[in-house]
Amino acid sequence: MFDNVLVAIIICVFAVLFVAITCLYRNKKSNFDERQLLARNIAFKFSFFFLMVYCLICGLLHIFNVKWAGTDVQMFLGIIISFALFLAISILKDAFFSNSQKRNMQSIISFFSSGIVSVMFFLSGLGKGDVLWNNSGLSILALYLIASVCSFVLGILSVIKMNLEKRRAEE
Amino acid sequence: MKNLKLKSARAALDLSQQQLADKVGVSRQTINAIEKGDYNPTINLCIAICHALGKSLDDLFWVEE
Repeated sequence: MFDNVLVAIIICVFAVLFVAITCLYRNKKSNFDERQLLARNIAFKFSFFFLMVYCLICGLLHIFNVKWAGTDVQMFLGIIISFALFLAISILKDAFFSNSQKRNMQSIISFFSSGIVSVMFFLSGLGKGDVLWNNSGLSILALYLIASVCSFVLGILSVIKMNLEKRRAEE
Repeated sequence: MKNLKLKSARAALDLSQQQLADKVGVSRQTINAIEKGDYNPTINLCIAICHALGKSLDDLFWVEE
């Protein structure tokens, strides 16, 4: 009992420290202009309501005893899809990339690297004999697959958008 | 509705969308969206664009009924 409380306190202290440090070192001036901030707000609203509807559907399926995935898989699937939705809408509305070229390249690299890491986890799971669909429904292996697909789609979308932007800026 | 006044004022100064965007401190896509009429800028951005192009708000953003 005491150990559990201690662990919870340690986690809280680390969380507070993390938030304090990120607030201290973050760039106070936003790199996004007013149109981009508005578009990002709309994207955030879409992904938030998607998550709400997703939670509602998951809850209803649980009530009617339809077991399609474990609780942990359901939770992470909702988070991954809603986050990917937010990023995709932001990219499509020209509101994901800031004025910093360096940061834009970093985000493209991070999309592809997270996709590669997810594929590696997926392939290692397949190698161990895991399956996409087991007794409890969708397995964690499917989660890796969906995460990798989302990452690659976002990466490709970003590259296309950046190339289009370069072409239009030259015109 | 397209903002042709802004486009012609920018062209008269031989500025590209990117150059105007850099002057005003927004992205090129935002200037493009304003010119195409896809985005209604705030009054602060309108004033910043007017200062950058040396025009008044009426010159660039007033629409006759």
